[in-house]
Amino acid sequence: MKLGTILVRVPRKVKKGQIFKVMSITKHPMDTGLVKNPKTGKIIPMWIINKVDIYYDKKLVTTCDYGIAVSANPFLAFYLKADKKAPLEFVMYDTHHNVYKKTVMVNVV
Amino acid sequence: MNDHVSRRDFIKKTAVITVAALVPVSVVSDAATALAAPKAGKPAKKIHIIKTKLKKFKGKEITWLEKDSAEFKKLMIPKIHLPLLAQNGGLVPLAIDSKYPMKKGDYISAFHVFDFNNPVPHVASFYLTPDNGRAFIATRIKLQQDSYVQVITEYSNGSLYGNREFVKVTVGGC
Repeated sequence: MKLGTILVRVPRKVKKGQIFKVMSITKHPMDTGLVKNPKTGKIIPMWIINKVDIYYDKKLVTTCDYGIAVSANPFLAFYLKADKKAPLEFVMYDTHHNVYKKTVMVNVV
Repeated sequence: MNDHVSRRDFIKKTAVITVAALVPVSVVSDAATALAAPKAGKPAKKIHIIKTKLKKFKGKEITWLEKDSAEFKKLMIPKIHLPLLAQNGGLVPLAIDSKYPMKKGDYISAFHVFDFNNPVPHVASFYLTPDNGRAFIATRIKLQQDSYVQVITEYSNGSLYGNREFVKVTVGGC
């Protein structure tokens, strides 16, 4: 799996007004900047995802501010209320100014 | 019947009894100390756990309620789901769950997770909206040692309430 890949799981079909669970996992090292490389003895510099924005129907739904104490390959689960068939977008920013994006559709029947 | 006990008999018997009584005890105690020695040689490192509760956040006072009180149940202050014992400190599942109704104008707006035994106390913040439908967040965090994980809940009217949970950590992960 490539670095920065975001995997998102939503139910295949949701009824209108239903509250459903969204689960996501991101491939990222989340180096804290406190650990030494055992071979070279040098400190591995800090490299973390520090902000996550989640948009549903182009509207900001959830924001997460991460510190260094979020584990590697961060996992995030939360609930959403189904209103209409709309895209669910994940935008992640890290301390190396990279932006990772992923969009999935929510099928409301 | 001859009830008389000769001096020689008396000394012999008492000697046998005392030897029988003393030897096994000393042997057993020696063995016990020998067994316990390797454990005692490496004294158990007593870790210091910081138990302070966060008093202020963003210039606002945080209220810490009793867990059995009526107000605690009425406000539906979220439960913190953590394992009793985390074997790997680098990956501890944490879930924050509340059944507070997420109506427009009256909802849980944020969770702030803190741990004072970590090198950096602020772990993460999660901002919610009424579109979520349910105040729930699940993640995985890093913990350095046995500690209290504190979750500060922010309501939409700006009030802050705290709750905490103890977790044991075998190997630190920071």
